[in-house]
Amino acid sequence: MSDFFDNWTVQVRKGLLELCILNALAEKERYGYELVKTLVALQGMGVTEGTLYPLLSRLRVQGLISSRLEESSEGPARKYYALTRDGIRTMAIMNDYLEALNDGAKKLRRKGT
Amino acid sequence: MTEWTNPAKAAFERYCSRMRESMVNSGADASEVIEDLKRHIETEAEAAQLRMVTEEDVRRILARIGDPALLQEAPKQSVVEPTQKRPGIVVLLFGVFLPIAAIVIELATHMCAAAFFDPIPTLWHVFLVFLVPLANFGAWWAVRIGHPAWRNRLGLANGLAIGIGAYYTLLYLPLMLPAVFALLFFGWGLLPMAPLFSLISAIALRSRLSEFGAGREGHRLPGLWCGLAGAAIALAIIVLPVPATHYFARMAASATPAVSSRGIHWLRAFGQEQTLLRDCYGTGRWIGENPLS
Repeated sequence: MSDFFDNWTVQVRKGLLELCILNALAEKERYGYELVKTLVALQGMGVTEGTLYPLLSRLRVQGLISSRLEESSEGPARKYYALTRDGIRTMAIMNDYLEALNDGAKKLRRKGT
Repeated sequence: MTEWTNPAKAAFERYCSRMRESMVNSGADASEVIEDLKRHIETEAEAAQLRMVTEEDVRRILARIGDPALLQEAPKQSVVEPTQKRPGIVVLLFGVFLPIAAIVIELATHMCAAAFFDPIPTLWHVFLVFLVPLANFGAWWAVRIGHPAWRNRLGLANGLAIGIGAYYTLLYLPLMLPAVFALLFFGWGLLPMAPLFSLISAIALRSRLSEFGAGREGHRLPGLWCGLAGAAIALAIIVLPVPATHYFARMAASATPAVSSRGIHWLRAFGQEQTLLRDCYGTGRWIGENPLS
């Protein structure tokens, strides 16, 4: 049972990670280190920094986020990420989709009990 | 600026070459990810106030940040599947342009008001009926360009449009049959059908909006009942003063002084001046106000 649940959570987390990145950038742009630390600290996500940077790069290649480098007085240059117009649109669609899916699952749960 | 020892650089290089292989099908830019990881390690080293990054530091940080090889392959398809049917020009024509044309022509000629009844006796009526093509256009445009952020607000506006459209369709129902015959035999008579067509368009657009932005399974669009209730309240507020004014005017004209006095009192309090003027002077509406008359 535990293995089944672990496998299931891995699938759920994989699916949600990209949406979490987009949602984390919804309010304001964030620099990579800050963004990664925020997502790593997300309870239940169980994600590591190593898997987040490739995802950020993929989202940038797909045109959903943009990045820019800015010199920092506190250390290495910071790479700031922000949502593109396409990213905002996709994020809204994904959030709506997830909400609908969750509503459906809740309805089934109510029927089942 | 943090410096790296040669063994630290070599350890990082080994990690990067392993990572490059694992990222072939990931859809990510491997060079970019390597730069990002290097920047991450440097930020960590700065935070730990390390002046020199050793091999041990690199191993420790890399062990903690995990292996990018765990990254799943890029999905073959985009998350957004633009398979949804989009509303065409016909909906725009019958749901937006036709009702606008009907309103403007009625405002300019008072055709319906002179021959049958006045569908837009006050500016509030005009405002309300203009909401129908406006809501239809909003829904049509949002689905056409793919703007899901407005979906819920447009769902409410669409509910409002359906309510108003349904009211005016009922109002024009007696004229529908003659209009159909006129259309078939003489080629004119489309304007009395405008409420019905805009109602049908609004319903069709609601179905498009429901599918819109909720994946293939569909997702109930909110706002129908609120919109219908809003339309009912707005119509009640705008429409009811007319029969109320007629009723109070009849009371005011009563032979019984008490009833007449009460009627005048109510007329002063709640009577509609425009309705009284129209009753006195025929079809002239919004005397001194109508920009088109």
